[in-house]
This record gives sequence, C-alpha cells and structure tokens, in this order.
Amino acid sequence: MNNITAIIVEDSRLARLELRTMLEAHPEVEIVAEADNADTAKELIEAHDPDLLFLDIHMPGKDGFQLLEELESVPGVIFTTAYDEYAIKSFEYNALDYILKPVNPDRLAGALERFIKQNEAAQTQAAAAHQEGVLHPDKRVFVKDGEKCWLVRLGDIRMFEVYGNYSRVYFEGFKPLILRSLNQLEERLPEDVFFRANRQQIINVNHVEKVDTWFNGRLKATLHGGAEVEISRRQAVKFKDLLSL
Amino acid sequence: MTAAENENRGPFWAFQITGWSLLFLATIAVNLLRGKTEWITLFLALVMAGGGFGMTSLYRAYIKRGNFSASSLRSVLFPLFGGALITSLLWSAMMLGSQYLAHLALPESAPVFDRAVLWLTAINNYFVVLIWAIIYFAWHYFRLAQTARLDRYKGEMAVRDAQLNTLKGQINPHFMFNALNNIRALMLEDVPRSREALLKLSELLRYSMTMTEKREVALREEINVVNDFLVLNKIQYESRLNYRIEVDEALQKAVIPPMIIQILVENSVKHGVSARPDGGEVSVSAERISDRLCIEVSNSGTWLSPSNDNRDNNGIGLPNVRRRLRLLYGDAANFHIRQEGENVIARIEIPYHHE
Repeated sequence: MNNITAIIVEDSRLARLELRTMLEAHPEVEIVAEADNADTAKELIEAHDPDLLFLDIHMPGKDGFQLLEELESVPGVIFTTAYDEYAIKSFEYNALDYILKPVNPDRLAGALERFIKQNEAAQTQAAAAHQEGVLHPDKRVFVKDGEKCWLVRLGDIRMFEVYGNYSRVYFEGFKPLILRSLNQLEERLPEDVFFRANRQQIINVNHVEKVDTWFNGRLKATLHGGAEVEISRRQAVKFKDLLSL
Repeated sequence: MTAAENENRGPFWAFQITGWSLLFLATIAVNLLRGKTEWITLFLALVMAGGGFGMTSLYRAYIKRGNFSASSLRSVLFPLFGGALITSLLWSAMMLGSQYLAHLALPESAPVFDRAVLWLTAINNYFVVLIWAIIYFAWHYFRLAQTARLDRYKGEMAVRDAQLNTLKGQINPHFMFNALNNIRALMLEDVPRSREALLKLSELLRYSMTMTEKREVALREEINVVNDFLVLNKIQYESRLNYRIEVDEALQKAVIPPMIIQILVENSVKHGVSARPDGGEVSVSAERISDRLCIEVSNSGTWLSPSNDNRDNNGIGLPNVRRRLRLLYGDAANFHIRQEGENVIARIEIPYHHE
C-alpha cells in the first residue's frame, strides 16, 4: 500500500498530540505537517499536496468548512469534532467522514479504511496524469450550499452553469451553487473532459448521452439525467474534434 | 380540596358561638343599663341568642347541603335573601312566641307586646340574619378565591421550576468532550496534571447535575466551579487564555442562582477566546453595593448584538440568563451587556441575600 500523506488541522495542541499518538498505530499514514488555524493550513496544503486532512470543524477565525471552500481541490478529509449536531447533520448528504473526539481507535481505523478504499484507484490515476494547474477528474471539490455540503469528484459533475456571480454545479440529484465564475472554472478544469458548450454552460463530455444536429450548424447534447445543452456554432467544430479523438 | 372540607377546618363554630354569646351579653348589658332587671328579660335574651344560634346553624346546614361554593353569584341570591328570610321568620316566631307567653304569664314585668313590636322584631331579625349570611358567604368566597389564587400560584411555580431546570442547563457537550480529549492527551505528557484535570471535570459535572435541583447556591460554590471550568479551558487553549477571578472574601456566603456565572463565563470563553486566533482574557468579579449584588464577567472582543451574530453562537446563553433572572427576581434583577474599550462586559445585579 502507498503511504498516505496527511496534515492535521486542529487548534488545540493537546488534541493534535492525541491524534498523532493514535495515528502511530497506522504507520501507513505519514503526518507531513500540522496547522493550528485555517490560514496556515491552506499554505501547508498547497505546499505539501497531502492525500488526507484531519480537520477540526471549530477553529478560531475560519472554520473547517471555510478552509475547504478556499481550496482549489480538496484532498481526502476526515473531520474531527468534539460534539456538533449541527455540523454533523451536514455530512448526512454525502460521503464526508468524521470522527468524534475523544477518538475511538476502531472508529479511526474504519475511517482510514474507507478513505483508502475510495482513493486507491484515484491515487494511481491522478499520479499518472498530473498536469500543472489543471485538476484531474478524480480530484474532488468541496461544495457547500446553505446547510448542506458535499465533497464531489470532478468526474461526477455533469455540468456547470452560470448563475450570476455563482456557478451552479450539477451532479447526482443535486445542483448547489459555488462562488466561482465559469471562466475561473474553465481554466482549472481538464479540457479533455470539460467542454465549454456556450457562454452559459460547461459540460462533462463523459456524461453526454447523445448529440443531435441543431439549426445553423449548432449541436444539441443530451446529458445523463435529461438536461439538453445547446452547443454554439463556433464550439461545435471543437466539440466534433474532441469526440473524434 | 372541596369547599365542605374547607368549612370543617374553618373557624365557623368559634365565630358562631362567640358571635351569639356577645349578642346575648350585649342585650343583657343594654337591659341592665335601661334598668330592666327582671328575670324574664334574661330569659328572653337567652331565647333570642339561643334561637339565633340554633336557626343560623340550621341555615348553615342548608347552605352547605346545597354546596353553592362553585356556583355563580346569581344562584346564591335565593339561598342568601330567601334563606335569610325563612331563618329570620322562624327565629322571630320563636322569640315572639316566647315574648307572647311571657306577656300572658307575667303581664306586669314582661316587655310590651304589640303590633309594632311584632314588626320591629321581624324586620330587625331579618337584617341580623342577612348580615350573618353575608358575612358567611363573603368569608366563604374569600376562602375560595384565596385557594384558587394559591393553586394558580403553585401551578405557576411548578412551571417555573420546570423551566428553570431546563434553563439551568447542563455543561456544554462540546466543552465536555474537548476536555475529555485533552485530558486523554495530557496523560501522555503530564500525568499528575491530567489527574487534577479529571478531578476538576468531575466536580464541574457533579455541580451541574446536582445544582439543577436548587434555586440558589452560595457564590463560593459557583465561583469554585467557574474556576474549575477556566482551569479546564486553560488546558484546551493554553497561552491563548488568561483569566482572573476577583471576588471579595466577604461575599463568599452570598447566594445566587446556580450556573448563572458559569453560563456567562462559558459565553465569554467562546467569544473572547475560542473564536479569536490570538485568544484573550476572561475576568470575573463580584461586589456588593448596598443591598445589591453586582457580578461582572468580561472578555476581550467586540460585542455583536445577537442579530449580527451567527446562529450557532447565540442559541441559549444570554436569553437563558435573562429569563432565569426574570423568573426568579422579576423587576428586582438587572442584566445588561456593554462594550468598554477592548472588552465586552456582562453585568448582573440582583438583590443581595446570604446563606
């Protein structure tokens, strides 16, 4: 098994000591850095690009969720919290994992096991195709919309759509908003997967179910889940090229 | 409790016997003053008082059997006026009968007996019985209203106690689990200190569990627990938290509602230390100003009124303190928060009491 690089983000020194001590039972986890607040954590995450974060929800200044929202791509996350019904509720919508402090060793082992299972495939592929500045489809983004939050694999997102200063993200049965413009997103998205269909929409070509010709040399793509997207004439040519690859 | 039981325990017979005895003695006194020293007048006074006593006692039995206590005022009109009329007529008949007999037997010494005496006695007796009845009913209604008010008050107290028990609140679970986690870690580096911390935590838990049964506790006890709480927080926040407790030795025996300083201090740690990357200072002080006990809890930071604050920071703490003080002291308590320089200060003023 590959070594898992991890960063502990936790404001209490003793809580970091506790977690580090407990992780001694898991030699496959290598703690590359520790941070006691969100800003330091952000720098360290960008510098080390860890596989996994142990992240305290409550921290002075920015909390754990705000940290994730600021990250371009989110590593694996295991939240740590002492007690927080409100925050834990937001995990019910997705695969985000959390452990409660004081930490039960079995619970920690279970969370690590789940993390490894989810990331085995991702890790090897991500390592193979790593382009500077562009995110691999297996990378995940943190999406928070009101009380709900998700950690979504880029490849699972069907479409991004302009919504004022925000973009609407379509995946599974959800369509929450994120505070990024479509142009910002386009720069970071792998262009062999995500295609700018028109001014308003970016689609995931892997989620295109069928393509029909439309008026004036335009195309109409139907996505999984039934959404229909018009591809402008200018883009239609590129789209054909992309698919013929 | 029914009205009948109330009556049995009431002072009816004491009043009844005393009242009629006094009337009897007063009549004799008046007779003596008028120079009427004949034995027959004594006999007639005895008939008057004894008859009144007997008739009104029967009248009362009739009222009680009707059990008018719970009924409306209108349904009392007949028992009151009609009952009094019948009673007074019977009583008058008794008195006039004996006066007539006395008049026949002793024409010289017995009082005059004519149509005027007949009417006067009847009317006079009606008013006496009516006054008796009014006093009886008024007393009865007074008692009834008093019981009702007492019951309502007891009900309110029960509700208040229930509210207080929930308001007094328990230790914040977030704090508790963090403390346990810290103690677990502290065992790795400082066993004596971790043992000490565990003791503080148990004292804090015991206090929060047992104090919910009390309305008031000694300031000394509360301050001990606040100190425990701050010691435990010091383990969590280390150099980020500084605290001071300044309570005059003379105030040790003052009493306060339990957990009230604790809640404020918890709030102060949350806003003044936990939420601030560089931490801050929390201080607690108490002083007596004439008959008022003034408690201040201050923390570093800027006061944001609850509407500006985010939701999970402002659920229970301050409204809880405000409500408890209102329930316990009404207008006699005062609670407000102010900004003073770099500090937010919460101030409680309550009437000073001691153990």
